[in-house]
Amino acid sequence: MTPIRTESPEKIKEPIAANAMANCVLHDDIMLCILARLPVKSILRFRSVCKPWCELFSTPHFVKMHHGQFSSDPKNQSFIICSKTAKFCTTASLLNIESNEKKPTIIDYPYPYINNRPKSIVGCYNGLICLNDCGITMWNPAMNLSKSIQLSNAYFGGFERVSLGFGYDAKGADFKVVRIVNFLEMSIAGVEVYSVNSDSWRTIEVDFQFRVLRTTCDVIVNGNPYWLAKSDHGEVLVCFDVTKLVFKIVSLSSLSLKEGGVTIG
Amino acid sequence: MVTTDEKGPLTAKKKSVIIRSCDGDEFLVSESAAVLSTSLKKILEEKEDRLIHLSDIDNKTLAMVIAYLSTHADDGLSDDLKRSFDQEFVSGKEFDVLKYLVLATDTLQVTCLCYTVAKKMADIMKNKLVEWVRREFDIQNDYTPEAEAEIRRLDAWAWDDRQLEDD
Repeated sequence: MTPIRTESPEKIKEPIAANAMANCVLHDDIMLCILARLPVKSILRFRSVCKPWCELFSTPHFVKMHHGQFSSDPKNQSFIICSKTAKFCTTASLLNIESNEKKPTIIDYPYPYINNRPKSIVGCYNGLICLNDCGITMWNPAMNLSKSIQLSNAYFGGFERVSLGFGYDAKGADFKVVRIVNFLEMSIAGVEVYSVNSDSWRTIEVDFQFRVLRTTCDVIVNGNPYWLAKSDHGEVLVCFDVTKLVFKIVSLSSLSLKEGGVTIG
Repeated sequence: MVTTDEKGPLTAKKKSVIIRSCDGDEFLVSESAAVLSTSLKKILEEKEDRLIHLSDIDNKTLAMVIAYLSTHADDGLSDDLKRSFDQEFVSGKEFDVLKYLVLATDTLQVTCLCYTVAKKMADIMKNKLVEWVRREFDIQNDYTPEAEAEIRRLDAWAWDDRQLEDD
């Protein structure tokens, strides 16, 4: 596109033009807009650009903005793979489905065996991983940040099986951990939910009985954890709505489930 | 003497505005294209004057923004064509050019173009060295050498230097 009318050459040299464009400084909003579009790997490196950038990258506002940019694009979906080596060490790697890199990227796995038990993955959602051993740990592998969660003092009596679920309440922008305690027979001893935002546990009333099959939830869909479970109606899929804090039952009447024999995904 | 753009002579139906850059050059733009910029739309709603002077956008940058606005105002183009125009529009442009462009889109409030340019800038930046980033954005390194080494050590996996570029 060419201008329709050009001022005389003398006029172009006026100081206004030089002043206006000589110093191209992008203000914070624009910088934020650009930085939120960088991949995690670049953001980690650019923490060493200057202290304000390092601080910015840890703010909830930036994290949310960055996640909003990337979660919608399937190119940015990665798996985390934890594998156990012969020497009782666990390695973790990230594998991007669409990446040109054939090999997964090995990342630091900061958790050695505690009491000779590895941490197992309860669930992974929006880049945050919930790990379980004797306690519960939230781990952000990209930022290499983690937080241990204290178990509550709630005691539900002699129980047989504890199962954990992990979920994300998009409405409250809150990660949650669900702890289901089952008695040996088919009944619920108690259920409690931990909210990362409030950093506290609360007990949930459950108005029907079921017994979950595994020690962690089987799948997380739309932020809600699902368990395969047995109930009075046979085998069911139990969903915990982390926003409304209620359980829902999805009937699996047409399928025959045997403990340990079914995987859902 | 004001000439028209490629859309042919002015008609009563198709109003135009004149936009002047900080260099003093003037561009004739259809009103339907101009109003895609939230800032220009507001100015046009507030005053009768059909001449708008932008004191902080130069010729080269303004010409690019107007080309973008005119394409996006063209009802004859499909969304797919507009999308491929957007990709073409930012490809091959130098980082400096994109900086002025992103500033102009912010001043003119052309959100879609702002995001497209920001994405392109992020794509260029992502494999650059930290030193390159500091240079391009004129940022002072406020870390001590020890603190910088420590922060690099924390996330060693992100520092695969083989693919990093300094130009």
